[in-house]
Amino acid sequence: MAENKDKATQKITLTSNDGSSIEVDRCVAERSMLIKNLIDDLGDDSVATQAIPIPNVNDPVLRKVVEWCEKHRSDPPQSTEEENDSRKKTTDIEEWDQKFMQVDQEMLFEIILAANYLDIKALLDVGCKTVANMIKGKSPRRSARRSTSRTTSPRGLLSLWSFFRVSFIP
Amino acid sequence: MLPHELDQKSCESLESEAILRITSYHRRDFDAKVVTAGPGQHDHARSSLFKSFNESASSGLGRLQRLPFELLSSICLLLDLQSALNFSQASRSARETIGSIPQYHRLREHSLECIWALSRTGLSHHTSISDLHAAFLTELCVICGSFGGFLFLPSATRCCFACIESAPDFRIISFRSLQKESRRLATWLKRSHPVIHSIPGSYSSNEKEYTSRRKLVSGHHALQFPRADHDEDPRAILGKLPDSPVLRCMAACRLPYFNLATGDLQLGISCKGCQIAMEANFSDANFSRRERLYSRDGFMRHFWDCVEAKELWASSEGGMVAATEPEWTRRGGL
Repeated sequence: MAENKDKATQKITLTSNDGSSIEVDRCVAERSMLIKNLIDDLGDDSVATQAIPIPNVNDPVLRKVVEWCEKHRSDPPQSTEEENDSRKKTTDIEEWDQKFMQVDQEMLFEIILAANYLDIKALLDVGCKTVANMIKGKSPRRSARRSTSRTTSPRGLLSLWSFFRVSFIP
Repeated sequence: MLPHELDQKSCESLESEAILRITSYHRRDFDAKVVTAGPGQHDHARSSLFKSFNESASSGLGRLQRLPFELLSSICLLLDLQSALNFSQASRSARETIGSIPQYHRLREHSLECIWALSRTGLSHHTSISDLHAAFLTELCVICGSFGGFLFLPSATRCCFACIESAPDFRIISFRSLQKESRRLATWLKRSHPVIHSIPGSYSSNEKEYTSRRKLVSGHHALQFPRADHDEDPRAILGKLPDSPVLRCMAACRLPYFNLATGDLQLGISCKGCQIAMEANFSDANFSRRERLYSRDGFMRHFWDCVEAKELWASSEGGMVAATEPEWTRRGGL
């Protein structure tokens, strides 16, 4: 038991692609399946002395991802069935996660890509839901099928334009 | 098929084909009672909905483009039907993305009637694509567990016809009477409940046409609304309102069952033998037996237990001559 606890709080160093390192608890880092598998493969000793390079993720994004993992460090691992069920049901997001995802779009997409690369299922889900909710807010036509006249609403078009053309083009 | 190609298995399947042809029929009266589109009404939509144009897109999806396809597709599957329709109309690349997701492809090919019904009734904002797709791949009614050939629109769940007409979960009430009984403002009710706008049509086997559109609310949704302490219990309110099978049918639509493993599409079939049994003895048990739908495999299992169906099959001399069947089954229940 004591050994397990030591393992959980053992410090691990992650290095982002711009060279800066972040020190995190092992259980936090193991929210990422990629890092967990890596540690399992390398063995406990080598990760204690060596930093783990994360070549696809830059420093600000890695810090953000670590922040999320710190918050969710004690979440129970989801079973596949449960996950499918909750995924299917709703695009509701927890309040803390919602606040966490209130970043500019550039950052949001970086977080999603990082979560995908690091294999953090729950964070990836939150990210995808956030993007889906952004798309949901936009409408090119005001309730298209319900009204018989198929006129295009100027306001709807404008919001759509700003979403897909202006804000999305880097 | 040449004689030497016939083995035992293909003989059996030929025989079951013949049994199905002689002893099963399609209930056309069920189709007439729920929301149905005219034949060929959606051919145009089928050729264009969620499908990319011939020309390729000149501009990308902007930042969304950076996400790999599997992430984009899981995002698109989180959308509700209306947002998906809107998104596919936003740009050519958005359309291409949606068009290349297999779930969307299947829904367009086989459940266009449901997409149409959901849009026309105004429920498309409240139905998620993944719920609809999950119902499409479900074989059995969520309430009673028999084969379900229908979709209950407000909750996008698979159901059978008997449950549409009688299950408490599929209760539909008129918006106006709910408003009267609950003494709430119409605007408040509309905000907190998905309102179903019924589609004009005939919802019973008699000739009556319902020409005006009516506002309806699902009883399940009505029970869930937030209420203050002095409010009456929503169950008591529901108890006062009449339960009309016609209103229930206005919120249901045919949905074929799609077997992902075999690629097989089924609307459900009924047994002629059960009709013969009911004509011989009008009892409640025989009536509910007649109302059942079966998948093809389910029907074959039922066939070996159904005495009347086996007699009908025997009288056809192995499918060689036409058996005398009841008028009801000959007309498909109409």
